[in-house]
Amino acid sequence: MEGVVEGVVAEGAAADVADVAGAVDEDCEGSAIMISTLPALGVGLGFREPFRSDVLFHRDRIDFLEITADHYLDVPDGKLQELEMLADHFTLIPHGLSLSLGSAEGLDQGYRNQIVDLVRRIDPPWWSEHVAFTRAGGIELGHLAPVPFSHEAIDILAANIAEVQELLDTPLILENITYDFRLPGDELDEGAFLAKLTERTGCGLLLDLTNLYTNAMNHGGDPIDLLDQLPLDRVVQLHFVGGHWEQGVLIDSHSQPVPAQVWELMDFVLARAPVRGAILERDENLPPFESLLDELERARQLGRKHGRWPSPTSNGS
Amino acid sequence: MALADIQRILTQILTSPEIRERLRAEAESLTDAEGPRQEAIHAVMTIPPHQLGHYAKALVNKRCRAVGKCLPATLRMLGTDRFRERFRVHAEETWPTGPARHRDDAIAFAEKLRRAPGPDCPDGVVDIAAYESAALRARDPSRRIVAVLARYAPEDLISASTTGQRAADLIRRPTVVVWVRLWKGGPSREFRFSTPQSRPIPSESATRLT
Repeated sequence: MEGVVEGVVAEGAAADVADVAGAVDEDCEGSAIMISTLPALGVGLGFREPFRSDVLFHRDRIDFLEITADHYLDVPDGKLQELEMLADHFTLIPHGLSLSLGSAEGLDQGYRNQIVDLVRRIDPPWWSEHVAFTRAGGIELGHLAPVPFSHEAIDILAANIAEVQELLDTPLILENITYDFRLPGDELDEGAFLAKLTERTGCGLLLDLTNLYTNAMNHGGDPIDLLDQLPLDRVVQLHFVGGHWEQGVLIDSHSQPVPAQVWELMDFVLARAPVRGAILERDENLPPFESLLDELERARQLGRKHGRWPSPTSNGS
Repeated sequence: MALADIQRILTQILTSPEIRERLRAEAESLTDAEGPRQEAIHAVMTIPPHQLGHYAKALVNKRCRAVGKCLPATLRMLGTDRFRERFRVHAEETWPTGPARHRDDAIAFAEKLRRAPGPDCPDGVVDIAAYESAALRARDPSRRIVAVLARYAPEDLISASTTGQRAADLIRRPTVVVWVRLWKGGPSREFRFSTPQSRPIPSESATRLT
C-alpha cells in the first residue's frame, strides 16, 4: 500500500515548469505529498527575535521565513500580532519542536491541538516536525532524541502522523536529526528507514544537511553515501548552518558559518531533489546580518543553477 | 521489548543523575533480564555511557542557555560561571515540563537564587532575579496582576549589569513594580513606584508580593 509521487523538474529549467506524474493507491495509509504542486519559495531564514528589525529591513533579500511553532503557543496577543506582521511580508513555514512524533505513548493532545490551531492560522504551503521523540513517562526532554531505525518505530511514527493528518490538510514534512547515541533495535539504515517512513505516511522530507554531515563526522560514514540511500524525490526543504568542534565531537550548535562540506552537500542535493526551499538556521554567535544575507544568496545561486527556484528575470519571480 | 519502555527508561536516565546511577547499578545486577522494564534497562545500558552523558549534559546546557535568555540581567550580574554553577545544581533537583517550561524553569531558578543566594552572590542579584522572575510571571497571559518589591530600582540594576558597576555602589531606591493585565490574554502594562532617594530600609531581601 504505497502512495507514489513522481515530480520531475528538468535541470536548468525555471522551477515553475514541471512535469508531474502522480498516482496514489486508494488503500495507502497517507496521501502522498505532491511536491511539484508546492510553491518554489527560494531561500530564507529561521526567524529569531534578535533579527526582527534586520529581517524587515532586508525583506527583499529573504524569500521566506521559518518560525519556531513553540514560540507562538500559549502567548499573549502581542506575540501573535508579531506573527501576523511577519505574515504580511513573508510566507511563513511553521517548524514544530515538541510534537514528539516518535513517542510510543502517543501525542500530547493539548500540544497537538495547539500546533494544529497555529498551522491553520498561518495557512502555510507546508509545515515541519522531526523524526524524533521529546517526551516519555511524563517527562519532557526539551530536546530531540532519536528513535531506532526499526519497523516498530515506523509504525509509531505513522500512527502519530496519521492522527495529525486527520486534523490538518497542510502537507507535513519530516526532518532528520543529529544523534549523540543510537537506541538499540536498529533494523534498517537511516536512508531505508526514511524511505519507508515517507512511503508509509506520504510525508515529504526536510533534509537537514548539517545534521546529516554532523552524524557522518561523529559516527562515521560518507555523507554522499547516506544521500544516495535517501528518498531524494521526497525532499521538499533543506536546513543548513554551521556547528563547532568540541573535544573531537562536532556539535550541531547553529553557531558558525556554513562549512564547505555542507555547501557541497547542498549542491549535490539541489541537482537531484525537487527542493522547494532552503532555510539558514543560525541561532547563536550571531554575526553582522549582512553575513547571513551573503549565505542566503549563495544558497539562492546554487538553487538557481539547478533550476529549483526562479531567477530574478524569470516570470516566476 | 517495547519502544515505550525504552523511551521511558531513557528519559529518566537522561534527566536525573541519581536515577542514572541507580539504574546502572540495577542493570549490572541483572543476570537474566526479567520483565519489560528490566529488558528496557538492560537495553538502554548498552548505549555507551559517554554518549548518554554527553547528551544529558547538553540537555542541561540547553536549559541553562534558555534560562539565561529569560534572566539576562541576572546572568550578567551573577556572572556566567556562577550562573552555570548554580544552574547545574538547580537542574539536578528539578526538571520542567509543559510548553512554557523555559519560563517556568527560569522562575524556579530565580526563586532559588532569592531564597539561597550563597555567600559569593554579588549584591543586587537577588533583587534583579526577583524583578526578572516577576516579569516572566507577568507574561503568562492568564495572570492579571503580578507585583514585586525590590531594594533597588530595576532600571538602575539593569544599567549596572551592562556597565559592570557594582550594585553596592548604587543608591538604594526601594521600588514596587506591578504588572496589570486588564483581561486574560490582553497586553500587560508595567508600573514602577520608586522612592526618590535612599532611605533606611530593612535588611531582608527583595520580597515577592504575588
